Amino acid sequence: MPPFARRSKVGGRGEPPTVGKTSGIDVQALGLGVCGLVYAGWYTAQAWSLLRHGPWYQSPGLFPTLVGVSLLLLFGLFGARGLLRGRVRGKGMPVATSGSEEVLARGAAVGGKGPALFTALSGVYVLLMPVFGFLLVTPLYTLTVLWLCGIERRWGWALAWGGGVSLALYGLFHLVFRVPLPGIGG
Amino acid sequence: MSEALHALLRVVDLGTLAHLVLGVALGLVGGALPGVTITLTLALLLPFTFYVSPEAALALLLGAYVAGFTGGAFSAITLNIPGTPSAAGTAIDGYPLARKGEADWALFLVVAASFLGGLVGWTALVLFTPIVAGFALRFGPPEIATLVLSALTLVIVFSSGDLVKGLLSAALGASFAMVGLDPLSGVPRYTLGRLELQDGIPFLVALIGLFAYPPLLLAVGARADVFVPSVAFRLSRLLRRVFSWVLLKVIAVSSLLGVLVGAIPGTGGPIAVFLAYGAVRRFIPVERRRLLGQGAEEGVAACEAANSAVAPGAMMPLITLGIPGDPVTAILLGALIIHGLAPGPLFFQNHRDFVFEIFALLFMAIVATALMALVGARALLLALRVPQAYLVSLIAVLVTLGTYSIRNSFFDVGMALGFGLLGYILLRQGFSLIPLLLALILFEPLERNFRLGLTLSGGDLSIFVTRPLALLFLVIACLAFVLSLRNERIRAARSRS
Repeated sequence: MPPFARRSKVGGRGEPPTVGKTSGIDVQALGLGVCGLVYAGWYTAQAWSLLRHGPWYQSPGLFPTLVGVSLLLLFGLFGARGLLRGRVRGKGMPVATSGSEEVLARGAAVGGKGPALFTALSGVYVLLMPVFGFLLVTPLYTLTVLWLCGIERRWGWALAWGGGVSLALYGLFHLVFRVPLPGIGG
Repeated sequence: MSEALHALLRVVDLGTLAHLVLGVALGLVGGALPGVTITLTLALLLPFTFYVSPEAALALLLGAYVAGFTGGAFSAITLNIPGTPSAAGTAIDGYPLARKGEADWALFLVVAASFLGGLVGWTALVLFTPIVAGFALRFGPPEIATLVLSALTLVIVFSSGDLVKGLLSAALGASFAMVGLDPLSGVPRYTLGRLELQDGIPFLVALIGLFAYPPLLLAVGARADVFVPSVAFRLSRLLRRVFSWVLLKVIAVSSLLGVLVGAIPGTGGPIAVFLAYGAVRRFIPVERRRLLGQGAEEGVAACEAANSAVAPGAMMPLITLGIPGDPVTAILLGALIIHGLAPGPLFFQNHRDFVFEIFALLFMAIVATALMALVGARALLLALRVPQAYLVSLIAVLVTLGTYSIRNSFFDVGMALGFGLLGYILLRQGFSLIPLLLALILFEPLERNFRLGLTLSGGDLSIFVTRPLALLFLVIACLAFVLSLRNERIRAARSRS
């Protein structure tokens, strides 16, 4: 079993996160606020360089400047809130949602290394595919994702699943839809 | 109505029907599987629509869209885990009803209420779309700019529990919308010297990244296989049960609420469902009212009718104004654009036949969903037993392939992954991703029409307040914003006390 795929101590499946308990500085919100400010600063600086002489409303830098300044203000406000208010667990859940929010609520305490490893793995998969080809990289990717999800036994079945998925999707996209996928060896 | 029936005859061909049936089947399964959601199902299906006719593409997507709502209720009733956000309301009474040994009746109610709700929504769509479309023909750049602004404001207000987070999400989306060549002067903005970014960030890439990767990232750590109870689903017995007059009234009122809410950008299923659930108390006898939350069939019917009427309602602003109200209609917009059919104020006038084909396909999707959900109920319950690990691995590869096939570009796949990570971080902070996506889509027309309007007036900003329709849209935007600020203050005061 992958070390990060353990059950959470706080809340169980189908149990929403607790609302209302605060604790010190919200480091994550503060971090997001600081990163956002860096992005907003760069964005606004670029927007300034786009401002041109002539009628103000025809300048390509008009809207980017407005957006950049809004980002600076909003990220500043968001970061300050993280610093002053502390973390309010479960608060701020959107009213209308796309579905991911509920998934997040159910697995709020999951976190851990799983998502980070999955992102890194998917990045490596995208980088390796043009080099080694779809048919070689995809079974390995599928197998690793299965391991990340906690498949501990039935490795033969998992291997067959990885191979089957790769072949079926290659056939569908490459042969039927004519999508130029790198086969084997890029 | 007769034009819709003629269009129905035009779209009845084997290929389109096969796509519709496939879409409905996948929508039912995708909606039922917890964590997959309708948005993810449609995002996964989108790449397959690039290679078929516009009718077949829409048949596939509309089938999955309509069926996804019904599918979501299956896991809500049997497992108390809503397959889609909108099914959360259904679980309130559906699960207790199932625990009383009436799971089959609850599922039958879901299908029947969804069907009737869908039909009410469809009728409203067919009747009102030509009226709204005629109205939209009067729009010039100032009206379009203010309309988009008010739509964006509504999205921010309705989709975020927190105004700052809603505004920040929209501002981030707007910042991504600025990437590419300036629509009026052609000056490159934020392209980082990359050719791939000259045409801007393709919103389908952002959409797949934002709405497909975060559920995968969460599922990787969750290891959430579930026990599915067996449900005896005997159709012959269920068909003999009669719907009471009260139940029919509940369905009618909830459906109308669903259409209305669906037509407002940024609202969607969950809001419609909980509004209908609140309204249902007024229409049922006191003794039934006490049963709400403990297995009242009126609760299930209200939620499902409202839920299913949302889809036709949400199609109205998309068809008449080109404004998607949620990620699913944004996917439909993407599918239409890829086939050279960009919805907007002139869409109804220029592609009248196709609009009626959309109506016909939506009607067929509603009927097919009801039939397939009834016939395939047992198979659908079996699908819930698929181990999540296999599902995650399959979806992960499909998401990669789907993004790649938009422009045959690995750069796009990397970009989608980046958006996925951003979406995950924002979700963990309690942000809604809907304002981000819709700002990414709508900011380009907002900027273009705002600047065109000012060019028309020689830089005079009063053009946005002297034209009655533009003024009306501005007032709506301001009102929504002020009310949201007021609600925020009330909420803050309550949490302090």
